[in-house]
Order: sequence, then C-alpha cells, then structure tokens
Amino acid sequence: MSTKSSVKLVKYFISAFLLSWACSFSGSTGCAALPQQKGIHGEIELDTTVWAPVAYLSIVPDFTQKYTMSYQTIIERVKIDESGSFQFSSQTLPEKEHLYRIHFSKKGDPPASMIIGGKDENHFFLIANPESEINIQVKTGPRLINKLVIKANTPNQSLLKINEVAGFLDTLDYYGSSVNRDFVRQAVNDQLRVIADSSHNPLVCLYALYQMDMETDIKLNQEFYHDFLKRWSKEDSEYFKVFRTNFPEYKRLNLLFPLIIGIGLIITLVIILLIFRSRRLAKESLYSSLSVQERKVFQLLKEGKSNKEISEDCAISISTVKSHVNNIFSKLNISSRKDVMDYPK
Amino acid sequence: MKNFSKTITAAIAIILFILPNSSFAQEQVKFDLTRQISLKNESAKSEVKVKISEAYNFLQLDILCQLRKGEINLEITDPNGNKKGEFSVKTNFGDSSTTTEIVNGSWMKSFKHPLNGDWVIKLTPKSATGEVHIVSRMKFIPQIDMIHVDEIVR
Repeated sequence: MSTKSSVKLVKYFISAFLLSWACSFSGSTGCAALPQQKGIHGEIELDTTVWAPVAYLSIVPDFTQKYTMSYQTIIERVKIDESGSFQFSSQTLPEKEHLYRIHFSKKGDPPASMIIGGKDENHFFLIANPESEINIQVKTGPRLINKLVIKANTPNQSLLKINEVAGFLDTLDYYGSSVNRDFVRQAVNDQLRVIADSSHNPLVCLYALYQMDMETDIKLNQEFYHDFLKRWSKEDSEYFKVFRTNFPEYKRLNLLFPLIIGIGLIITLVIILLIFRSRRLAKESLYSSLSVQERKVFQLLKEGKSNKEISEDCAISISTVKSHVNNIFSKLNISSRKDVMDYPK
Repeated sequence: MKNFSKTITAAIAIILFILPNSSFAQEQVKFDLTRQISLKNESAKSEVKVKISEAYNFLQLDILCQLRKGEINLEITDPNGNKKGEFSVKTNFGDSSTTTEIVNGSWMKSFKHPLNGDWVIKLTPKSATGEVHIVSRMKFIPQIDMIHVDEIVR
C-alpha cells in the first residue's frame, strides 16, 4: 500500500470515528435520565495520601481564561467525604449559564494549583447554572482523572465528547510524518467545527472551537466563522464578546454602525440649523424691505402700541399709521399684530 | 560451500532482525535541561528556547510556575509557530502589597517525533514575583512508535 493511500485510509477511519461521535450530539444524552437534585454532585476515589480531600469550584469568565489559576476565580470549596463524595450548591451560581472548572490539589500544595497535562492533571470543566442537576463520577487510574462520567446533563456530556475528539490532537505523535499529522489535525478540527455548528448550546459551541489553535483555523475557514458569528449575533455573554475580539473586521463592523448613526445625527442637526438660519435670513431680508418710517411703526407695534399711540409718537395721522401697518403686513407676509409681536426683529 | 553461504546469510538476516528489538537497541540517548527563572516584581517579557535536533525523537516539556505576587502568562509554541499550550497564574496582590499568596501552575506535555528547531516558551509577567522552572527532557528511543507515551514518561 502506498503512503498516499495509507494516509487516506487513516484519515477515512478517523473521520468515520469522529463523525459517529459528532452525530450523537443532536439528541441522545447517552445516559438514562436519573432522578436528581439541583447542584453539582461528584464522586472521586482520591488517593488521600497524595491529594487533599477538597474539591474547588472556579468560574471561568471567558474561554481565554480557561487555563488561568487564581484565588479570585475560586467560588466554592467543599470537603470530599470518606466515601469520595462532594457537592457544590448550584444556588449561589450566577443566573446565566457559565463555564466552571473543578480542581483538586495535592497535599502541601496551595489550593490555587493547576496541573495541565500528565498523569496528575487535576481539573475538568463543566457548564452550569442555578437550575443545573449535575452528577459527576471521576474514575481514577494511572491518571488522577482517568475517566469522567457525567450523567443526564446534555451540555456537559457534549463537553466530554468534545474532550474525546480533541484528545486526538494529543495523540498526533502516533502518526510519524508531518503529512499524516496535518491530515489528522485537519480531520479533528473539521469535527470540532461540525460540533460547534450543530450544538444548540452557545457555550458548547465555543468550547469546541477553543479546543483548536483558533488563530490558525480562523485564517483557513473564514466562511465558517463568518456564518458562526452571524448565527450567534444576538448572544451578548462575555464569552462571545471576547470571542468576537478574534475578528477585527467584525469589530470594525460593530464600530461602523454607531459611527453611521452618529454621522447621520450630526448631518440632520446641521440641516435643521441651516433651515432655521435660512428662514431667519429670509425674514431679515423681508424686514430690510421696510422703509424707515415703516420700521419705526413696526417697532412700536412690537411694543404693543395702538394706532393712536403710534400716530402720537410719530406725529402722523391715524390713516397714515393704518397705511404703514397694511404695508408692513403685506411686506412681511403676516396678517395680525400678534404676528408682529412674534416676528424675530 | 553454497549451503554454508546460505546459512551465513540467513544468520546475518536473523541477527539484523533481532538486533533492533534487543535490550541493547533500547538504550536511549538523553539530554535533560533545567532552567530556573526567578522573578522579582518583573514585568519584562522574555523567551526561553528549547532546541530540538534530529538526534532526538521524544520531548518531554515540564513548566512549573509558583507565584507569590503579580501575574504571569506562559505560552508554548513549536518551531512552526503553532501554539501548543498556554496558561496563566494570578495572585490577588501587586508588588506594593505586603501580603503574599502562593498560586501554582504547571504544564506538562510529551511529544513523540517533536518538530526540529526552537520550541519557544514566552513569559509575559506583570509585576510578578516567584519562580518558573522549565525542564526539558529529550531522548532518542529506537522504535518509539511501538511505545506509549505514558511508558516513556514513567
């Protein structure tokens, strides 16, 4: 068998295997539904000579902080009893669904200790909200978290499946040549994108995408990410806000919209001002058409004086005053003394 | 004489077949490198390079970080510039604080047939006080594909 055909065969088997996992995302939960209580319940067979019998629950505020360890993010610590059971109360969790990390620490190590990789990897992730009913079984073996079973909680079962699919990336070293590795990486990334595309849970979708080297994947699959952003455009959680920062053009588009609105408002304001100004100028030009005597009469009309008072002030007859008043009305295009009072001059 | 030469050829063929599987062939060429970096209110970015040559077909990279103040981000990239991992460790206290707290972070990964070239560990501290240990173990293991990573690490 040639190298090319063996590569194809490897890719085919991996794709078929991963696809069978991905297909199970649409509906089945994998485990029979069990009557449960709200909260996060767990069981672990901990070697208490090495590990402290304490479980820590940390909130992961965004996916870029998935592997950030600090005391600030630890929201609850509970004792693991002799039978290996522990329980976190979900009532204290934020209302919206969040990503959480549960971890264990070695005896003598500080509580805020994270081990990534190796047999002592000490943490796993889950999605929860105050209504969650999560039942976890941590099976130990050569590794502390040898196998993780989460019963009857679809989003978290999806996370486990994503972990299994992404686990292929860690086994890339089984495929010696760089060509084979690239094929396997491509097959795994394809499946993670299928999961992100098919899941109805926004956090599950992001969890799948963040398993990859996303920076590289965005460059190679722009159309997918464009559609993905469109699909979740109304999602305003911090997880998505941070995710969108990976797309400068989306950021620009987001900035462009308020910019257009702002410019539109300014233009409207300028137009309104120009209209007022032109009206004012028109009125001024009408006023300038009045004769000296008419302007004097106009000012006296504005002061609210009667024809008789104007006649006395200007030392002219009442009939002349009336004639001036009619001329003023006609030239300024107004029809009453009240209009004179309201006239800007 | 003809039979003798055939016997010799067969014997050489058998020896050549057995030799790579023998315990003699399993001997490993090792090269361990440990770097210890002490940080004292450090905010300057730095890089540590681990050079992998063709002489090795296995790499175990352990990064252990213990912080008492500030924060630090560590990013691991392969010679092609692909990110292989990243983690951060943060404390609640800056350098001006008299209070300290210890936060640990470790990253431990093993690679068969690691890419040749410089594997880079980028350190981005912010007022960080603590220690970073980088331990790289390089080996040449004949027939490495027949052995599980866990067995090599053990």
